[in-house]
Amino acid sequence: MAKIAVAGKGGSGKTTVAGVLARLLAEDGHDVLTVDADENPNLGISLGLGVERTERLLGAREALLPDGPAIACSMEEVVDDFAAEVGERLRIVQVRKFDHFRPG
Amino acid sequence: MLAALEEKPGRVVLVDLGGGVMTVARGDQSQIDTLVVVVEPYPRSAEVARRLLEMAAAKHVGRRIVVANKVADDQDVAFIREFLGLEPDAVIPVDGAVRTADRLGASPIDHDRASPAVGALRELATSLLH
Repeated sequence: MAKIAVAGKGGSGKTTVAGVLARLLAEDGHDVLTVDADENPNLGISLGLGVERTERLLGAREALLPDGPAIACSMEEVVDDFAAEVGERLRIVQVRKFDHFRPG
Repeated sequence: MLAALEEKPGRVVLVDLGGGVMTVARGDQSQIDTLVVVVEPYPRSAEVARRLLEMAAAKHVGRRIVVANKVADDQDVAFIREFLGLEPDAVIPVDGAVRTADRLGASPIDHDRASPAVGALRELATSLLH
C-alpha cells in the first residue's frame, strides 16, 4: 500500500496535481483513496466530482461528524461510511473532522 | 488517520495537504511514503518548497518528488533547479486547458485529456509507484 501526500504553497496547483494523479492511478487499476486535508477543500472538483457534489461532500462531512465525542469504530469503517465514490476504484474522504478520531 | 488505515495490497492513499508548510511541520509524517512537492517558478513558491523538502528529510519521509508546475520555458526550470539545488522530477507546462477546466469546475482530465499538462502528469503517475 502506497501513501502519498501532495504539498506546496497555496495556489501552486497542488490540488490539481493531486486530483489528476489520483484519476490516472485509478485508471491504471489501483484502488485509490483520496484524502482532502486542505482548508480549501477543492480536491473533489479536480477529481471530476463537480462543484455541487463537492460542496455536498462538505455538507455531509459537517452533518455526519459534528464536534463531539470520539467515534468508537475503526478508521476503515469511518472511511467506508463517509467516503464518496468518484468512480470505479476512486474515492474521496474529507479529513478535517477526523482530527479527534480515536480507534476503538 | 494514515496510521489507522488497514494495509491493503494495491491500495494507494493520496492526501492533498493544506497549502504552505504547517501541515508537514505538524506531526511526524512517518506514515507518508512519498511527498510530492508542487512548486511554481517564483521565489515565494520555491521557498515554501525548499522548507517542505527540508522538513520531509528531517521527518524521514522516504521519497520526495519535486513537481515544477506552470512552467513556461527553460528559464523557469533553471530557476527552480538553482533555487532548490536539484532537478525537478516532473515539469508541468503552463496549460490553458487546465485554467479553463478550473474555471468550469471540471477535472482537467474530463475537460481535455490530451492537454500537455495532463500528458506530463501521465508520465509522473507512471513513475510514481516505482
